[in-house]
Amino acid sequence: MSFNPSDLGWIAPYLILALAGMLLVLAEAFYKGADRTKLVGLTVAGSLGAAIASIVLYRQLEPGEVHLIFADSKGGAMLVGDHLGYVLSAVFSLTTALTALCSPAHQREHGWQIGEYYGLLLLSASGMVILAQAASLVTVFLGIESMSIGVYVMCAMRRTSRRGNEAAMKYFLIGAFATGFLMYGMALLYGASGTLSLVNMPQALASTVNPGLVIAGAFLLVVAFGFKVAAVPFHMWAPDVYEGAPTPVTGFMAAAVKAAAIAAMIRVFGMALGGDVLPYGTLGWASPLVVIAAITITIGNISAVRQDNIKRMLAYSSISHAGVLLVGLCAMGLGSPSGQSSIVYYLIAYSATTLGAFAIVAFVGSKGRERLLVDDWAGLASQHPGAALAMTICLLSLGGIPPTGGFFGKFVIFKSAMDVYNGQLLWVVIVGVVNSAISIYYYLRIVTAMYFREATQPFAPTRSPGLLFVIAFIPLLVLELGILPGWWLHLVG
Amino acid sequence: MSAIPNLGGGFVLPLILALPILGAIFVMCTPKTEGPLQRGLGLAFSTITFLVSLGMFRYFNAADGGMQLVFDAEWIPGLGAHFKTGVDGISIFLVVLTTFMMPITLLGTKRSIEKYPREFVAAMLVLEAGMLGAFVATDLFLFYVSWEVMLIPMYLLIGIWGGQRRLYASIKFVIYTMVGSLLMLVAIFYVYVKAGQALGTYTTDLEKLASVSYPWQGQIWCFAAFALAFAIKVPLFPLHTWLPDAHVEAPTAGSVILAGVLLKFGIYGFLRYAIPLFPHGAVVWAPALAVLAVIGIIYGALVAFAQDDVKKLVAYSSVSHLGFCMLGVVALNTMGVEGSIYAMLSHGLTTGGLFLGIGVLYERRHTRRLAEYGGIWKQMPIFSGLFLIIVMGSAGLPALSGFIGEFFTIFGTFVAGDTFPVNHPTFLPAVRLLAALAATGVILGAVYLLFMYQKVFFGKLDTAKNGKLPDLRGHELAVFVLLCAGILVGGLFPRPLMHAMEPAVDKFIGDFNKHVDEPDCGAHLYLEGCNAPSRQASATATAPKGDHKP
Amino acid sequence: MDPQSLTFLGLPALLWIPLLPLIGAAFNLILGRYFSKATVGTVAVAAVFGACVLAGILVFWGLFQHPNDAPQALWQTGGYTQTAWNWLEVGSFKAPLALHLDSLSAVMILIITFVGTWIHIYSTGYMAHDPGFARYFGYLNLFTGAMLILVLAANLPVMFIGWEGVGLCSFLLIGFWYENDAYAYAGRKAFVVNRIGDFAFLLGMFLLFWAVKSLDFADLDNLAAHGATYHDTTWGPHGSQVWEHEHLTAAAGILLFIGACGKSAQLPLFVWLPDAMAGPTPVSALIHAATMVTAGVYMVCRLSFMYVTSTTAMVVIATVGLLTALVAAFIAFAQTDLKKVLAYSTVSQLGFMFVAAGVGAFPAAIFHLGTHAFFKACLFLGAGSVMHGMEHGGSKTPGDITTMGGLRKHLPITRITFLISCLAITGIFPFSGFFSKDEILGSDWTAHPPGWPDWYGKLLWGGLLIAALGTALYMWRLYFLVFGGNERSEEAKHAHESPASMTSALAILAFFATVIGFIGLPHLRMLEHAPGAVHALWTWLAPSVASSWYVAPGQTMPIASEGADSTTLALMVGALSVGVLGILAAWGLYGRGPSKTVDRLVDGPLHDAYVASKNKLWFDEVYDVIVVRPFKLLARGLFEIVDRFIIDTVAVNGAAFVVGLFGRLARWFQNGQVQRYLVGVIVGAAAVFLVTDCHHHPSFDITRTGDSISLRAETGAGVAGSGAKLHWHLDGSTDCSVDKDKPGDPAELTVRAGDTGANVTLCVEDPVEKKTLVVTRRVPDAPEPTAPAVSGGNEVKP
Repeated sequence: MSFNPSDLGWIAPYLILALAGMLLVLAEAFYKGADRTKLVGLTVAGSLGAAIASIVLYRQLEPGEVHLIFADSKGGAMLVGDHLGYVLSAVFSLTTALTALCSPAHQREHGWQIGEYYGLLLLSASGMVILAQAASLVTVFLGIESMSIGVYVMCAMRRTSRRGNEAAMKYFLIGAFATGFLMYGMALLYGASGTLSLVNMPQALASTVNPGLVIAGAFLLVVAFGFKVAAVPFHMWAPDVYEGAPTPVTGFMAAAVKAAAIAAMIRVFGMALGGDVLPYGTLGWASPLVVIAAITITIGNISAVRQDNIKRMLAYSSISHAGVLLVGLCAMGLGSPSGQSSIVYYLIAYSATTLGAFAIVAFVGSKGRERLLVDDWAGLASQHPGAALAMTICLLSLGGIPPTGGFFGKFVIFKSAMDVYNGQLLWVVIVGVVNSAISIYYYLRIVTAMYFREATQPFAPTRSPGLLFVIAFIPLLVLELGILPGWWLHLVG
Repeated sequence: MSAIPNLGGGFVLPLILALPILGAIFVMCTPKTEGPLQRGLGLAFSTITFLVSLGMFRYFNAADGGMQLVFDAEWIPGLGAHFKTGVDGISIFLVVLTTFMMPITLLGTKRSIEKYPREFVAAMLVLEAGMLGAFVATDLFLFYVSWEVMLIPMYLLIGIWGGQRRLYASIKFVIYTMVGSLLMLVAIFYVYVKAGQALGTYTTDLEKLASVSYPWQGQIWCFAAFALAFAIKVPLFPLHTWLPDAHVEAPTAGSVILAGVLLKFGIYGFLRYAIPLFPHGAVVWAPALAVLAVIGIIYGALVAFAQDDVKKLVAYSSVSHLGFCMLGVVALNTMGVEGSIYAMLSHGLTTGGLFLGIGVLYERRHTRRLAEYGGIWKQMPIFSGLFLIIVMGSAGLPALSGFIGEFFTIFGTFVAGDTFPVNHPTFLPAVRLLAALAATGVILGAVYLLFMYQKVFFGKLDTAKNGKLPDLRGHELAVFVLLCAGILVGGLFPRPLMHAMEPAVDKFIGDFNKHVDEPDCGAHLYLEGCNAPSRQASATATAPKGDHKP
Repeated sequence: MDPQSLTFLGLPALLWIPLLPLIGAAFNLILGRYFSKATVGTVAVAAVFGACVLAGILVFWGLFQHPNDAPQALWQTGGYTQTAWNWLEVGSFKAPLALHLDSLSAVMILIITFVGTWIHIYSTGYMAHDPGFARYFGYLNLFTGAMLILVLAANLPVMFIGWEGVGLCSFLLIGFWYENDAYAYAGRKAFVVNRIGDFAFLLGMFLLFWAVKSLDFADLDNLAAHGATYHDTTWGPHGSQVWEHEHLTAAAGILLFIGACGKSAQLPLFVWLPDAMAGPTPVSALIHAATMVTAGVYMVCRLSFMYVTSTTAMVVIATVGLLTALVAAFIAFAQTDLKKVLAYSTVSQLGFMFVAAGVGAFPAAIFHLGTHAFFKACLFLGAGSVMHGMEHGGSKTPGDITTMGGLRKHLPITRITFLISCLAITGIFPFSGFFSKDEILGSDWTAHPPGWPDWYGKLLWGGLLIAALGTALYMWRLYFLVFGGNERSEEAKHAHESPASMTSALAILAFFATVIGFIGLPHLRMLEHAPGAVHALWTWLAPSVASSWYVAPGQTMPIASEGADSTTLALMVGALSVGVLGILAAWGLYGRGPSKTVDRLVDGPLHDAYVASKNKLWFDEVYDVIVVRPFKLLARGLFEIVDRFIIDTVAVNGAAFVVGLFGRLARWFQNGQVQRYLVGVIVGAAAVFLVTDCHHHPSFDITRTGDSISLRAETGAGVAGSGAKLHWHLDGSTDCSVDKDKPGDPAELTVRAGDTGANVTLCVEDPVEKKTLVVTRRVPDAPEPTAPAVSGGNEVKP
């Protein structure tokens, strides 16, 4: 590859996040006083900056235009700048900002005011931005690792909480395991195609001499990404980790990390392994993926039904949502024209909703009493109608009931799945919708608790301007997404 | 009405959709404690909505069978979904029924809700908006959204203001309905994609969708999916068990709206969506539906007789009555369909009235057990008299509204053998038998309704608690007089309404017959002939394909 | 001027006949409570009396119209129809709210309004002390209105309004004293039993419309006039297969008659009428004797033109009527309740009427209907007067005839009127009953329904003669037990005559019960030259009822056959003597209160008969066992088993439970151990890849349009498929080794029909598994337009 300084402009979001991150780490060192939550200001500023940068760059490009960054002679590149990339990086940055806004209050309430947190937050965000723009197996790997490492640490931030440490440990172990799959899959692909560039890979593969390697490699990548998006049967770490990690971090993982992994999948499977050949047929990567998707949706929902801990419940719900996203990926791979835009829309709606839900979980809990059980939420509506309403909207969105973003997200994903030639994905669509009927049950369990039951004792919620802003802002966003989705659909493609 | 400048009337429907929403927002802005104010606001807004909805008739041309007062605005460009509303002879009266029942209900239950009056009124208004949306939508996507939106406020109504087992009832209501409507969603995807391929552009506009003729196999499955969703709403035996629970646990207002309006969506869905979109499917499923409808008529009546809870009794009576509507629809002739629409309107008034009456009693006695009552007439003669009219209307006494509907639905079924578009070897010989069986509902209706009436109003005043019950208060009296007037007028002068709905129904039947007659193009949708092959199809057709089997 | 164009306040004049009572009803029911009893009573009576006057004017209108010109009287014009408004109209079905006045309905409205008026007047006295005074008169007016609609209706649906309306009123009036559960129950029973009839009535209507495409009486009659239409086997698309010849009218007629059985208390639906005596006595007089219960008879006569086309239906009617007449008469013997006896006598008399209608003697039926209306109303009102007196005497069970006796001293007027009515019902010359009953017996004797033997008529005659004997016996038993002998209780001693409002009504009705018979003197040649009034009823009804059987298309035969005077006279004497015999027997047994002989008979030879009669032949008990209990059981069973258990518990909650079960399972597996998770991963991953099996099945589409055959390879399996080398063997040879090193063929191929053999073979060299797969498929012979692109039926050989 050739280093071309003018390309630096095209990776502004990454640079901003990375620099702000390092800055924060340093600042933390010089910071006086016990409470380091003040650093949040810089964090938000940094991520907003990245968001703005990505929007600016987005507007630089025509639809469909692709700008190769650090291109090499053979037409490959390390990164690309296109609408998809910048939309996603904007999403990730904003998610990061919102997460940051939620954090300080929770840190203070539950005593884990650690400065590094914010630095790590931005650093892993920078990893996500790389994934959003990745155009080479190398950068994919890079992005995934730099994202994950940050998150491993953040999970362990609550030193006092044994669950937290356990969670971090598990997450790290399984993450390492996944990395192995990832490496090996990439190696095989490289062996088959002789290139690392996702851009060049399709034609390289089309003329490959040993398709066996391609198939194996593709399947290994399916497994690896299965870990990252917590798809069944690679999901089991998720509930424990989501439960153990501090709530804002959980939100960040559910919303941003998962989204980033999907972004990477769009790049790898859409760009490199997409096209007319590779996804199709019983040996194409789409066939295991679609089965995995179906299982993920189902198991995710069914396990959630029996959960009493809201964080675990949301963990399982996020698993089933990952399943829906995988359906979208298969649809995209199998040539559904609206595949990509529907995935992006779903990512936006889903990230927003999940983040909101966890924000409210953080809000409801208080020192010594995290109120994570469904029963703890009884009668919330009578004492904090606002929060209850916000939670209701988020839950309805997760359950896919109009007029919310969640509903429309499901709608477009399944619609794009139906677009696939002679309804190969019909069965998985049916599985999907039947499951959302099941999911209604456990989402409404919380609504039922909040509205239909009486409070046992008064709530002492965790208040902070940032948190309240998030709680107020996200439901509105979710409704807007649901009622006027047209604009969002046109962000990509 | 002439005060309104003639803008073609397109504005009326969006207006009656917006008014309740506005009302809800308004009410939510008032302080928690202002119960009376909020009720007043709710009443005001729903009444205005009612009056505005009457404005429809200024622009409505009864001679025209097509969609009128059409309002069309692009909604989701990428999807081809429009915010498109309109009414025809089939829906306009259902709209009026909705806007009429809402103020009636709010007025009738003025004093029965103490808890969270603000949220209550808001929920009711949102519910109204949802119901109206589903009635006036002429766009599949808009319809589905409204259809689902109705669910939540009703769920809250049952759950927050309901009785002992409200948690179970509310969740049961939602899941039951969801299961149906989600399978319908799949069918909607199918229609959407297939039509998109056939027409070249994606759209959810009902008119365009109905113009495509879908593969025969597809029609059968899609009709089944739609039918499931609608049959649950109707509710058709054996999918009815959510209804008694929902009714018994719901507050009076909830029951009234549920029975008065919500159930109609099942039948309406068949008329507006399932049958026009999938005529071949309709032909295939009609016998099954007819049989289930008849079972429902008899079964509902029998089970209603077995109840000792007044509300449950009336709930099951709805199963029986809606069976008539269903039967009329699948008779697929003018008589049957008009009868079933009329039966829906009448059922809205009568059963709504029955539930309001039960509410009146419950408010005074706080029990719904038949055994607790008896000799009420002595205490509340006016109420008893008016309630008798409602009961008789429900029992289908001639010259009251209930009769017209039952008469024509059975009648339509009886002659369906001559009118059915295709010669159906199993169905046609049986229609007269089905009609005869359905007619037994006339007897059974009298049995359980008079049983209920006698147990409640006749007999000695034995239980002391019934000793001093105040008769109807002003607002209640107004409500019941209005309902009874409606029932009486509906029974004596059905002609204007039926005249107005006739063109639309004729169009419905005509289109159906036309579609059924034309050769089924499904098998070669992509070949030349019925529909030109679309870009989509040819594009993907060239790509190598595999087969995914789970 | 033409009566047809008469309107008042924009509504046709005819409509005002039912409207007046309805207005009265509305007034009394809504405002009555706020007015004095005097006002309420006046309004009620005025309403009915007004209707009576109006009816009189309209009925006899023609008579006063310029007599020189064309005949105007109803019996000459055949009546006219006035339409109020367009009630029902859907597609081809049309049922305007139209009223039809012809000589038949004229008779009915005159009876209803006239008798009604007097019963209203009577009620003002009888109900004077009842708190529900206004409600009572409201109902009574409402009933009158409904009844008038019933008889004036110009088509079946409108008739059905009245039909069910009177049912409702009788429900309300029977249960008038609603605080008594038994009464309320009786009311409900009446309504439900009526509904059973109405159900058949509805079906009859549908059947008729389905067949003749109209429910207007006018149309139905015209169809009958050239009756071929009734037998036209091409009726309705399926007509020829389903209904042949008279079967349709038979079915429709019988269905409608079942409706009549409900209304007119015939077997097997008569059980409600005796219980209906729970209502106030004037109600029994008006509704359950004079008017409503005769609706069935009226309906049959109204549709006489249809019924004469179906002997089957007619025979059914006659037979049911006969059986009812006998059964009811038998049951009436042992009843000890004054009104119950009268009730059963009513049922029995209705039987008489149906027999008459059944043999086609419609005028006779109407005649008896008329006379019966007067004397039975008089009897009931008399009974009311008696009970009134007994109550004032302090009796708790005023209706119990065992406690009466000797009342002739205390209630002289009542006694006289009762006596007259008894003579009338027994058929003693010259009281009205004599003529009407004799008419029925006579027409039975001469009856000969086409296709039925002569003895059938004789059988009916004999049966009715026995019934008549029974009538005489139980009626006079009643009379003697009430008025004869000495008081058998204290209360009877203190009984006293009723107020004038009541006795006046009695007097009037008694008067008519005496003379009304003369409007229909028997068919005797000796009377032929008597003034026209002699045969008034026949002349009068002639245009409105059928007078000849319909045998076959265009072929009819007259119903009434002129028997010789001698026969007629003989029959008259026979009937008369039977009546006298009955009276004498009754006098012998009960003349001075119940005699020893009675007890001896009851304990001895007639014991079983007595018990059977006493227990009303156990009809109610039987119905309870075979209908009521099973119904309740079924209802409860369905609810508990189907609804609660099968659907809700098993299906609905079961599904939820299963989901929950899986949830538990997943939860159990999720025990927090990383090792277990990793195992799950390995196993899971393996499973997923097994599910997506790694063998691929090439196949190909072969579609034929015209004689161009297009082949499209479905190489299927992704990379492998795309990398695969294809070879087409159009001759169908399956040997793929030949083209080892040839270049591959294209995936899509179009060839002419001639170029292929019967089969086409595709060879695929799989680059991954390094195998060659062979697919062979048959070439479709002819294009199949509707079949989908052929698939399936392809076998794979590795």
